[in-house]
Amino acid sequence: MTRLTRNNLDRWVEALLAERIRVVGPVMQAGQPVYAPISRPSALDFSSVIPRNSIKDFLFPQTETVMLYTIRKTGVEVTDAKPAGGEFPDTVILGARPCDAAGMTSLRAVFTWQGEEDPLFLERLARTTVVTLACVRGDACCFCTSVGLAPDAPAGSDLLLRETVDGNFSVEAVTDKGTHLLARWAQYFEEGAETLRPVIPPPVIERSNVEKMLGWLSDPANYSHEVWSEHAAQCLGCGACTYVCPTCHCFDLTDEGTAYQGDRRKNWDACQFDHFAAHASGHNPRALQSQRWRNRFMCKFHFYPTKFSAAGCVGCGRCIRVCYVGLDIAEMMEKVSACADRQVPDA
Amino acid sequence: MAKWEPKIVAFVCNWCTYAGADLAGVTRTQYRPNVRIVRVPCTGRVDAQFIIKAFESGADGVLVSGCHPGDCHYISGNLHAKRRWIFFKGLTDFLGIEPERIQYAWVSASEANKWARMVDAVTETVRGLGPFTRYHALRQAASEQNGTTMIWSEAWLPGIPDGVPLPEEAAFVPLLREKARELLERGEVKVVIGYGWARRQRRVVPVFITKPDDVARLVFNPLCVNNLAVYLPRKQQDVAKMGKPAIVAKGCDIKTIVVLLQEEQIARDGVVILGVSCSGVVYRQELWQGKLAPDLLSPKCAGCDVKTPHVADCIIGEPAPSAPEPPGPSEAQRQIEALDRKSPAERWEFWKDHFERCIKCYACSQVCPLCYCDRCITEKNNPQWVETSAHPQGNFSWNVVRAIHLAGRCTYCGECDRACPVNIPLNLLNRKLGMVSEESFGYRSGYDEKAHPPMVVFHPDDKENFIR
Repeated sequence: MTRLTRNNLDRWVEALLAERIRVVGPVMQAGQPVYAPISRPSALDFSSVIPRNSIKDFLFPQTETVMLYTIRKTGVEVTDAKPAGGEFPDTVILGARPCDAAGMTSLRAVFTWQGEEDPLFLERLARTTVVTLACVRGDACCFCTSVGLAPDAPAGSDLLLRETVDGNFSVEAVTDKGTHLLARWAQYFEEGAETLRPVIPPPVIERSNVEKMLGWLSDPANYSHEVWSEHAAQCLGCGACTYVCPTCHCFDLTDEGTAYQGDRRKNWDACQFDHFAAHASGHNPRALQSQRWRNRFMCKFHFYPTKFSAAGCVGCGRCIRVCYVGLDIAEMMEKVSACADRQVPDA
Repeated sequence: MAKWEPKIVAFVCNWCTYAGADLAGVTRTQYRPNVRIVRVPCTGRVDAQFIIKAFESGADGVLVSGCHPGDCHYISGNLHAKRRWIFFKGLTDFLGIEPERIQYAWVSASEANKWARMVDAVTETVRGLGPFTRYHALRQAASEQNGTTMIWSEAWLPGIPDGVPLPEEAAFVPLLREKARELLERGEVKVVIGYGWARRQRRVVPVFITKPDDVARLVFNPLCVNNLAVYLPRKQQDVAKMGKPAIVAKGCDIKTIVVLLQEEQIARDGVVILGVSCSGVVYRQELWQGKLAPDLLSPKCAGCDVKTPHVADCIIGEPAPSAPEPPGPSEAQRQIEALDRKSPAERWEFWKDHFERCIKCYACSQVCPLCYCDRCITEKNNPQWVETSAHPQGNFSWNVVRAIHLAGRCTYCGECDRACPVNIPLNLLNRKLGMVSEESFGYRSGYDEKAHPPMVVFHPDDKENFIR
C-alpha cells in the first residue's frame, strides 16, 4: 500500500509551490472552511466536514472573460481572452471531498455534451489534478450514501487519500493522471502497511430511492403535482443553492463595456431567478417559484442522469446548509419517492 | 502624454439649464470646454444610475442642473429631484465619493452667465481633486478579474446541534393556533403564513397552513427571526395563488407590511395580520445555546419600540412589558457615526473592500420584502445598467442601486445582512439613508400606513445646503 506521511505531504506541497503549481485546498478564512489557493502547507486544514464552496470555483469560475471585442468603422475585431498570466495555471486540488470530485465528472459531462466542448473548462480541467481526501464522518446534512456515492468514492478523483489512525494517509491512484503524479513526485511517497481510520458513513435517507424517483419524474403528468407547490412555496429564489452546488453549471453571456469596446463575459446564472427561463416574447414557462424549484430538482434527478448520463446530485448537502428558509432537498427526495410508491401499486 | 483635463458630464433639463447653456453660446460667453452635456426632459428624470454610469464611462465629475424651484415645466419634477438628490448625496458621501465630484445646481434659461461661471468653477474644483482614479480603478480591476474569492458568512449548518435544548414556545401559541383554525374554518383566509419546525432539521422555517387540522404546526419562539412579509407581495406568486393570507407578524415585520400597504402592494383588507408580542429573536438560529443571550439577539431588536404590534387585526399575547431603551446609540448607529468621522478616502476603502467580495447572487434583493419589482434593473440589459459580473465595478453599481431603491423605505429587518453569503454590512447603507430621511424629512418608515413615503412626495420647503 502506498502511503504519504503528514510530514511528506507538507514537503510535497512546498515542492509543488516551488514549481509554481497552484495548490488549492481546504483552509480556514475568517473562521470558515473554504477551498482556496494556498501559499504554504501549514494553511491546509482538513478538520472540517466540508468547505463552504465547491471545487467547481477553480474549473468553472463564477465570472470569466471569454473574448474581447472592438468595433471600428472597418468592422468588428474579436480576440480570445487570455487568462491572467497568459495561460491557465497548473493546479493540484489537494483535499477535495469525494462528493466535490464526483461533481466535476458531472460538469465534464455537461461541458462535452454531444461533442459541444467548452474549451475554457476543458483546458482548466486538463491542467488540474484532483487529490481527494476521503471523509471519515459527515454531518446532519450529508447524504452521499443516498445518491450512490460513499465517503471514499473515487469518482472524479485522480488520487484518493484515506486518513490513517496515526495521522498519515494511504494513497490510491485512480486515473493515469494520478499515476503520473505519483511517479513525478515519487520521493514523497513510500510503501508500507497502514491502519485506516474507521469511516462513519452518513445515514441513507430512509424511504428515498433514486431509481423510483427517476421513474416518477419522467412522467409529464407529475409536472403539475401538488407536491411541488406544497414543498417549495417558501422558496425565495435567492439562488444560493445553485452557487454552492458542485454540479450546477448554468451560465449567462454578457457584453460589458462601451458600444465600441468591451469584454464578453461568462457569468454563473441560476435557474432559481425569475427571469431565467423567460422568453423574448414575454412568456415565462416557469413563472412560479415552485416551478423553478421543481426544475432544479428535476435537473438533479432526471435531466442529468437521462441527458448527460451523469450524477446530478452528489449528496454534499450544501444546498440544505445555505438555504435561508430551510428548504431541504433530502425531505423532497423522501416525498417524491413516496409519491412514486403511491403511483405504482404494490405487486 | 497629453495633459490631463477633467471630464465633466452635465445632466441638464431641457427647459431651463439647457436653454441657459444655449444662451451662453448665443451670447458668446466663454467657459471651460470640459463639460459634456446630456439633455434630459427634467431633472426629475435623472436617475442615480445615470451618475454612476457617467463615472463608469470615465467622468471625473458630474453636474446635475435644472429649473429653479417653482419654475419646473412639469410643475414639480425638480422638487422631486431635490428629494432624490438629498438621499443620493447622503449615500455617495457615505460611500466616500468626494462631495465636490457630484454637484447640483439650479440654472434658469436666462442665466447664461451663471452657467458659464459654474462650469468654470466645477471644472477647476475637479481639476484640483485630480482624475477620479479611485473609481476608474474599479474598471481596471474588473477587466483583470476572472473568478472570485469568496469569504462566507457564519450561517452554515442550518440546524441546532443535537443536545442543545430547544427554546420554549411562547405562552400564547395555543391562542395563535386557535385563531388560525378559526380563520381557516370560517373561510376568512385560505392560508396562514407562520413559523413551524422543519421536518428533518432542528430549526424554525416558514410554513403555510391551508388546512384547519394543520394549525398545530404553528409555533412562536425566539428562533422566529425571518421576516415573513416577504411572502405578501405579488412576486411570491405561489403564495398569492393560495388565496387570501393571514400572516403571523412581529412588530418589526409589521413595519414592512406598513410599507407594502403604503405602496399599494397589498390591500389592507387583503391580509389578516396576526400580530404577536415579541421579546426578541436570535440573529442566527444555529448559534442557539439554550437561552436568548444578548449576543444572540438580532441587531433589529436593539431599541425595539414595537414589541407589542402597532398595526394588526388582532394582537396575540400579552402586551410585552416596555423594555427600557438601551443606553446610547445602537451598534449600527455607532458604526455609522464612526464611518462618518472618517475621510472620504477611508470610507471609500471600507466599502470597496466589502463590495469586492460581492458575488452578485442577489440574495439581498430576493430576501428583501420591499424588493418586489417584477423586473429588477439588473435584468435590464439593453442597455445593461448594472454589469452582471461579480467584479468591482459591477458590484459597486449594484450596491448603490440597491441602497438608493430602498431609501426612506427600508425598515431595517436586516434580512439582507443575514442572507449575504459574503458578509457585506448591507443594512448599514439602509440605516444611513434612514438617518438622512429622519434628519431631512422627519420621516421614519414603517409606522403609519396612511403617510406617504418620502421619495414619492416633496415639500417646497425641503431643506438642503448643497445646491448651487
